[in-house]
Amino acid sequence: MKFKGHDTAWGEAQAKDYVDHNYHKVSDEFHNDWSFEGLGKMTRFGFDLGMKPRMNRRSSNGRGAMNLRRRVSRAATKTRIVWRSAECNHSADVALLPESLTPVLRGVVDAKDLNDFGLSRDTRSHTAKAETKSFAGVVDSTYSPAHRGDCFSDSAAS
Amino acid sequence: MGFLLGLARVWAKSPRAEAVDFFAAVTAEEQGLLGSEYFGKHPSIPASKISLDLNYDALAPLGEPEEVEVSGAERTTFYPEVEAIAKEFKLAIKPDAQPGAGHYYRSDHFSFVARGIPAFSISEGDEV
Repeated sequence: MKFKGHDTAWGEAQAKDYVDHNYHKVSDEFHNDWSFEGLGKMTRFGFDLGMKPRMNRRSSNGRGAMNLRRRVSRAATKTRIVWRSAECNHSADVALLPESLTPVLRGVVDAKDLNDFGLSRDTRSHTAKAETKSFAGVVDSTYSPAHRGDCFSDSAAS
Repeated sequence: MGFLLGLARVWAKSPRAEAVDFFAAVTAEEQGLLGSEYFGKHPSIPASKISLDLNYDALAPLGEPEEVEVSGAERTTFYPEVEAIAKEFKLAIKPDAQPGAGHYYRSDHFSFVARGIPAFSISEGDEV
């Protein structure tokens, strides 16, 4: 921990002192010599971080988020990924996006889909790599995958 | 808590604020991330619509920090933005000082990570 006007050793000593004497103890209460200057900086840091995805979304096409969504769905290549779990076979239609579109959308995977698949994100991504020859893009969760598998009752009819 | 309310107050006045920005004070982290886990399981909007979760736990009232830990940010594609903003703030990004302690897996941001939402924790370092 490095604070302005002090070296790293000072910051680490403060942290150790806090853990040794106040952390989870009744003595962990307000002290008059606390400085809130750093909290102001951390607030501004958090503000800029939080606003960044929104600015990216707008600046990427200049006409707002809806346009980006349209661009995403147009640019996405719809691909079916097939894999086998312990119980049954699965397949999902997913959209693979070119990396350049928006970094912010990457890594967003719909939780409900993951539960349906019964796979962790890592497993799913690994499987995707294994089953498709060119998984250069990312799975776009905003494109709702239509999944099929012999685990699901609706797929038995189809 | 004052930090969160302060941030929310400034945020609400920003022309870029939207109706879907959430400021959550989650409970019972030490008991097993109970509050954030509930939010993760029952998000107010679909998890796929949440573009980013920023998590703050304790912040040290020791003055102006020159270093920051952004535990887990490097696992997201948002990391280049984090690096750029940290640079603007003259904050040197320090790696997790004790990766063996598993902070990444037992901080509230992880309830969001588990749903595929890019999420990380922000601190001045030396998490306890």
